[in-house]
Amino acid sequence: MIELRNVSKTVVSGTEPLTIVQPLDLSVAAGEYLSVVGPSGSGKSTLLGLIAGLDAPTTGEILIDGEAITALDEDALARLRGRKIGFIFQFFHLVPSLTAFENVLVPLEIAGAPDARDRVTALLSDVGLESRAHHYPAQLSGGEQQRVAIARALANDPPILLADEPTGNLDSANGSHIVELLQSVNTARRTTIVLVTHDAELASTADVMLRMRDGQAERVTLEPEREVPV
Amino acid sequence: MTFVFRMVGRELRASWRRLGFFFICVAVGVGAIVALRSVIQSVGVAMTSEIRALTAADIMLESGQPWSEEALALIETALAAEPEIARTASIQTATMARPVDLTKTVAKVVELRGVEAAFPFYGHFVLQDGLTYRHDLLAGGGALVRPELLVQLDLRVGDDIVIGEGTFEIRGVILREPGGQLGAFSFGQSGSCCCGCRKRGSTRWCAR
Repeated sequence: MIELRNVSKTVVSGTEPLTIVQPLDLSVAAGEYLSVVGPSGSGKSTLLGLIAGLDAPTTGEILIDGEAITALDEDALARLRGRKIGFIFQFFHLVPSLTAFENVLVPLEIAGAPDARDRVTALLSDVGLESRAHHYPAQLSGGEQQRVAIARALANDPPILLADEPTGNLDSANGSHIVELLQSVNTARRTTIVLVTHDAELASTADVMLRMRDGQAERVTLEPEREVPV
Repeated sequence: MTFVFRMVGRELRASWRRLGFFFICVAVGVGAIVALRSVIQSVGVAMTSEIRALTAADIMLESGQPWSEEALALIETALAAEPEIARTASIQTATMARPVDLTKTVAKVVELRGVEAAFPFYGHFVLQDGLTYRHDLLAGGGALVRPELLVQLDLRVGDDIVIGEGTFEIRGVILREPGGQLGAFSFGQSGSCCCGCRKRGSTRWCAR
């Protein structure tokens, strides 16, 4: 479960303070699929960075499964991210010198997983890339690279998956495949997903939508039966 | 640590061309530096070992103008502080030389060097026909000449030659001389001779 209590983010731009995220309370239940939409500069990616512990809030606290990550040091944060959070980027950020198989394998090797290679094979099979396992990123299409990135994000079977514009760099066909893949992950693994996008159609596939504008958030419930208080 | 080695192996596998190019660049760079240093060292060693033969002394002071009184006083002061230093002076200048026989209407520009008895401190003359150099050969109007000058002026050892305004007797032929021109770094004249005279020109003070 993700919980934000009075979280805000302010930076100094020149001499003037600029509030990117206005004070926000938010709860995302385990297994929930939340999309965050809004125009560029509305604070979507900043909010995702705060939840991942990549950035520190100016006020408030953030709890992951009841643990306040704002009180953790960098090493503890890294361990927590390794255990509980998978991250998908718009530009994939695969290691170009490693094959698709190895890109997925690395987080498992770091975690010391005993059955790493079997799990990588299964993950690549899940994203439909078992036949491209030994190709380098440069030999894969954008959609394939993003699927490898999703497999990598799921490697340690994290309960939370954060996705920052995962289809922003893909054509509509590949984008649809990625959306279906994220939905299947949410359904099959009960993985909590926070998806940042400015694509309203993609956002509508989530259970709950958080609409952001000028740093302020407004919750839109898409499935009333799974409503979560903001 | 195993993970680190695995990652190194993967990086090497993926970028062995760049790594190879990098090592080639390093090798070429190191080779160039070593070669250059070797050349510099060789030139330095050669110059050090040959410099005495090139200058015929340890220290050489040279001027293209007549020495001023002030300069001579400075030299005297400096040398007075080192009484063990031996010294000698020589002049070197370009002038005209011709046979005494006026029926031979040929004259040549020659490089004239006038030396004192102490010359040379290092190195030695090699004269034709196994003749040994001694300063007596230059005493009383004697001169040693290069073989090409003999050919150009149609002269022989024992003939007289007019150099500038003086007449000298040719007493030997120089095959090799110490303290001569610095090889490829200087220009020679069409002929040269060496005699015991003094004449205005480039003056050297040599010391050891």
